[in-house]
Amino acid sequence: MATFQIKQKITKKIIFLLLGLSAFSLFALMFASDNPEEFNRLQTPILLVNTVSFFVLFILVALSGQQLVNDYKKGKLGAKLRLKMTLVFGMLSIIPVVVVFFFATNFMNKGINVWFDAEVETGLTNALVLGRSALDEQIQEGLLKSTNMSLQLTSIEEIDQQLHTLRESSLALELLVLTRELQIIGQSTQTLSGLNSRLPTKAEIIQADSKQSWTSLDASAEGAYLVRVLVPILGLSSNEMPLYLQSMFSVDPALSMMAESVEQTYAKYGRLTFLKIPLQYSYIFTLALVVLLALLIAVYGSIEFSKNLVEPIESLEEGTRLVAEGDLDIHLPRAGKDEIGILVNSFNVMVKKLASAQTEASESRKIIEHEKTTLQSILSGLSAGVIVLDEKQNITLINPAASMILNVDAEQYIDCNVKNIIKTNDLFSQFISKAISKIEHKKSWREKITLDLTDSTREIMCSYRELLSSTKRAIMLLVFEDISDFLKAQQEAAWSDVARHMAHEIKNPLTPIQLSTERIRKRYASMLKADDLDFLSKSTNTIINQVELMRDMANAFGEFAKDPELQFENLDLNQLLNEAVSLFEEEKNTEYFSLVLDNKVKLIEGDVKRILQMLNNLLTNAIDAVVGVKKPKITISTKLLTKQGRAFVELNVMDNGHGFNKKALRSAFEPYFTQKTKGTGLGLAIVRKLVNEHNGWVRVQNNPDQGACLTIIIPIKRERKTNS
Amino acid sequence: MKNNINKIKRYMVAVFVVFLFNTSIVCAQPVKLIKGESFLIEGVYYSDISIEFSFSRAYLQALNSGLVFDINLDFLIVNVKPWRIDQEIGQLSQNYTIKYNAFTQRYTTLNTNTGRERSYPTIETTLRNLGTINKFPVVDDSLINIDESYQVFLSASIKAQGVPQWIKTLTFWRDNLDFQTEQTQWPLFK
Repeated sequence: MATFQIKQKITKKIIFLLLGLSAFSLFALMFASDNPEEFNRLQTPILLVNTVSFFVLFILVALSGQQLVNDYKKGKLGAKLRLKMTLVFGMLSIIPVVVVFFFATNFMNKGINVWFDAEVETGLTNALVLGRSALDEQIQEGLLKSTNMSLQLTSIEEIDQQLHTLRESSLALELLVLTRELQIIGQSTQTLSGLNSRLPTKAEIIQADSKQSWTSLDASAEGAYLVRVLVPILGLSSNEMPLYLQSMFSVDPALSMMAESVEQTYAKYGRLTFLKIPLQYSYIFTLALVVLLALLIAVYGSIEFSKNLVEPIESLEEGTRLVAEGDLDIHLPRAGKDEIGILVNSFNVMVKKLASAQTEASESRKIIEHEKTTLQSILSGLSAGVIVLDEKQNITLINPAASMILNVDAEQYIDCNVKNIIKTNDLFSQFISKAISKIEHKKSWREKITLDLTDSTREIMCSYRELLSSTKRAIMLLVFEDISDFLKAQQEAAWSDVARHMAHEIKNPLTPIQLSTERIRKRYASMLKADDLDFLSKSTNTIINQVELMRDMANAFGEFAKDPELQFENLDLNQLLNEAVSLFEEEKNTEYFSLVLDNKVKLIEGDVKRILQMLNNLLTNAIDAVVGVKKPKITISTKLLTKQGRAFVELNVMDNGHGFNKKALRSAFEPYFTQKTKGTGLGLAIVRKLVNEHNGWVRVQNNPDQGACLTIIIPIKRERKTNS
Repeated sequence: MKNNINKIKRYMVAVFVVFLFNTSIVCAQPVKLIKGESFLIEGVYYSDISIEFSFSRAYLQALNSGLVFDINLDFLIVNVKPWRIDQEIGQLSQNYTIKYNAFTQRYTTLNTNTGRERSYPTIETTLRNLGTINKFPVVDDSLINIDESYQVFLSASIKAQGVPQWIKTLTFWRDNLDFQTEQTQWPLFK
């Protein structure tokens, strides 16, 4: 672009230089025409300069015109206007110039023709004839003198003397007596005449013979005229050797000068007449060159003018288009101080302000984006769920914790109105429905919301606050936390505490009771009759059995309350399962266990004692569950799972027993809850405690057809806490 | 459209042919033939030269209108060396003017080298006398090696006085009455 502009500038400089030279040369031509020599000297180089200027200008105009036509054909914006303006301006200049050229040529030709008027030529010819007639008198006089002198020559002797005398008397410049063969017999020449004498030609001799005389008028180089007369000398001639007298007389100097003047004028006029047509052509050619130069300048000027006029409009259009496309990094070139220039300046100012505003907006957007990212990071990092509603109760934000707690894909609910959400019946809609019912009454509250699941409930502690945004719009903020586990843990802790106290308080008096009962039976057994002894034995046995039962219960509570440090080691779960099942089959004399073990499950990290206790409880529960079933069946399976890059083992204990009722499903893992007629109700509670200790999960569900399935998921490798 | 272009082309060719034809008529050569021969007299080589002038109507009209013609004869004596660059021995020129005097109705020739002026009643006589040059001294014998070959080159030129160069430039397509012959050569000796 820069190179193109430099080239344009150089081109313009060359044009102006050539035009300046042309103008200068034309002026020089005009002034030099007063001095013909100067005119002749300058004319050729001047014409050369003008011709070069013409061709350079012609090429420039042709190139510019071609560019213009190409732009027009391509439909380039502004080309049509440029072409139209060029044509209009061009025609406006061409028409008057052509008219002027036509009339100027006509007038010039007429003017030149006037110079060569026929009357002038006739006048000159007449002057020539008049001069000749005047000179004819001199010739006749010379002829007369010569004829007389030829008659006076009677003897060949002392011919030079005779000639001298005759020349003196006749005022002749030269007298020659010569033969037909041009042999000079006698001669007399004026000493100071400076005459460049010449002998007659043979033709002249013949003329003199036939006409008895021959005359001629000679012009000398100095402009003087000489009369030459050749006559035969009859008195001296013989048939064998005719003699001739050649006389030369000078014409009267005044007459000679006038004749010379007339002759020169006539010759000059003749030359001019001869040069008339070339002169006309030359003038027409020069005028045509000037006119063409003027025309080309006008056309080139019109092209440049229209270009300069339309260019800012084109650049404005281009600028507008770029701005529309979002490019604000443009600055249109200055376009003078006229209205278009003001418009271009205004456009530049506008674009500058727009760019500034865009930069500010961009900065603000960056800040907002940064703050948003920060907020999102905070929200993502929060363990509490956050849901934000706008004033129309459209959901504007759901953080990942909320998605996890409510088991929902957050993205699909963004910008959804809560009224549309509560029509569904999932966990999320339950929560929203319950929260909305409270929102409508209070602007700020904190309450526990219980959500019902198929086999359990979920306790959500929710806080609500209605805030106002910077634009004074209401923002509804729901912050909530799943406290189900917390509550369960709290409950478990309470139960553990109770169990520990119970185990301690119950176990302490049991031994004295048992010992006292045995002592009573021992002391009074010998003293009592058979009937009384039988009664005593039965009663003490009952007491002892009940004490045993109470001890077992106390042991179970003690076991539940235990919180020992786990001893993790690598253990083969499949092998433990095989051993446990074999033991149970032997002990219970049953054969309805089936094992479906995943070979991929190798070693897991766990406390062997606790895992064995967990398996014991599970298998006991399963056996109890299938009591009374026609074809009891307990399937134990393991499976290797991978979740989020971590390996887990899934253990399923599935029976075809009676399954759990709805209440039992929810409370299956609660301590002291049992569907059985006997037992402590701590089996599954202990299982969950053990699973939790291994960082695992446990769930129970009824099978679709019959029985229930208890699923345990524990990690293969325990999670080691690091400082980070 | 194409037919029109072809028509224009044909028209332009016709105009060009007519222009050439006209030009060829106007530009009839004023010098038809140059002949020459050299001979040695008393240690000096002379040449007899015969030039056949033939002035066309344009020349005669110009002459009778008052234009003066310069007639220049340029001689060149060259030692011709086979297989080598020729050596120029000498050059000389003989210049004449010819003009017509309307008063005397005679044609005057002036040898500007010698200053000798002659006048003739007719152009034919003038040109015949002008074209006949006898015993024109060319070169001294002392400058010549008889064992080598020499050639005399002659070219004649005619130029009209008083016609400005710019007119000649601007009327370049017309006959400007200036003429230059090719070089004619003959051996200095046989």
